[in-house]
Amino acid sequence: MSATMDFQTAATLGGHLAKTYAKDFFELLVTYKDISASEAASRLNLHIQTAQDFLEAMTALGILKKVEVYEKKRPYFRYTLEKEKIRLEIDLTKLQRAKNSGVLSQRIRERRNTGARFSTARSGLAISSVIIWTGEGRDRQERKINLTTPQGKFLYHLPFPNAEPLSIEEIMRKAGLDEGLSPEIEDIVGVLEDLGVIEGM
Amino acid sequence: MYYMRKLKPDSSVTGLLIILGILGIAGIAGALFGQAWGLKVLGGLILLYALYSLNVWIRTMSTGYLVATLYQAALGIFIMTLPADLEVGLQSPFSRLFLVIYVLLLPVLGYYAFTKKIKWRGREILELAATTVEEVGNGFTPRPLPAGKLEYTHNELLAFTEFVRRNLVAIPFNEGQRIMMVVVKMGEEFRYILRLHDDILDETWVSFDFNGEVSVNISQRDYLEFREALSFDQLCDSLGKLFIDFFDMFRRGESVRVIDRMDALRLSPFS
Repeated sequence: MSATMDFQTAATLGGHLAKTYAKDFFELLVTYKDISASEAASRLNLHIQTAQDFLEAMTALGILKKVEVYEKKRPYFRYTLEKEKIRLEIDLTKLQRAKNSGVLSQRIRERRNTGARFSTARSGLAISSVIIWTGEGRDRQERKINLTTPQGKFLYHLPFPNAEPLSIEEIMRKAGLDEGLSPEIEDIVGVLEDLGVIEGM
Repeated sequence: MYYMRKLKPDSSVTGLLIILGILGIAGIAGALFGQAWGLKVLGGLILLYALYSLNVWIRTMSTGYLVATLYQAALGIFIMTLPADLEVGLQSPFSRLFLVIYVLLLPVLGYYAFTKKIKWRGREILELAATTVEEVGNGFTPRPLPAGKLEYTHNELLAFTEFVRRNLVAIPFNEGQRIMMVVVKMGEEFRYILRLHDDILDETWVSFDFNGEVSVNISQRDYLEFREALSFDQLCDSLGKLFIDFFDMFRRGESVRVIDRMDALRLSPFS
């Protein structure tokens, strides 16, 4: 397998490796030159469909290769181990939301009459959590978002509803936050924008 | 200088209710158990009120409240020790002593009351904060506003806190890392003295932390006290600046000007 894989591929592989029969399956595959789904199913005492699914999944992931063969004109597949080593490596930095240089210059402020409740941290210079009510009537639900310390400092300096909006960059500077923290700030701004607590100009 | 009032007129009747309550309970006791018992209950309740005033004095070290405590205690003891026959009672040297103390303290207390030395300055603070706020536009948020950063020493802050406390400008709460000065209006002090208030974070306050950060919060209850929906942002900013000005004046040794600024509003001593 390639050195790094995307998260979805890794999740699929991980899901199959976690099956109780996966180790026995790979023992078979590494021992046999090639094997069919029915042979593997009978050998491992599995349902043929289970064995078929596993083999197909491993083929799709490039761990096995399959060859179509005929027995009395009836075609079926035989599977051969293509890779003797599986390396599961995920580059987590790729999960970070794509930095958009325009986002930091976006001017924002608190939206008017949101009903959001901000709890001040004991230190006094940060917000510790935001409580927002979502839904109507019986579906009305309280949603509490606990903030990280940088997010709390950022929201503490967020302009009031009728104040001049400021850019995210400017608010971060006021809050004394390093630019390296911008991804988590952008994240909370996005969440609060979606919930209608913050408005962008 | 004439200041346009921005707060609604004071409609608080807490003080009046307490007096009426005391007289009512004493009246009921007198009607049920006779005049002597009525007087004892009246005296007892006044003594209880004196204990409350003593508590305020301990919390604030305001001389006016010490006078009020002595005045109420003298009155309470005088009434409690009165026998059913009032004429005989007034002949008693014990009753006469407390009557004299009471009569002597009455003008002293009157002086403290009319010179606003026993007045909680919450209304003055809110009026002064609102003087520079012209823009109208709601925008209340239950969030504190960072009002700036100052340079002061630990001792300067503690001394200013003491000044604020003694002059009933606010009730200070030491939170360890910062001192929160809760703005208290007349008639609302009971909640803080008897600790019946909600979380002070939800009240109107100005906080000074030991690193120089100043923050301001205005409660929704106080914000609704203004006649118009003033710009909340400007109001908080103005309140912060007001306390920063007070602190500066205090550090320059001009603390009397702080009191003068509040007195210049010419609010009633009882509002």
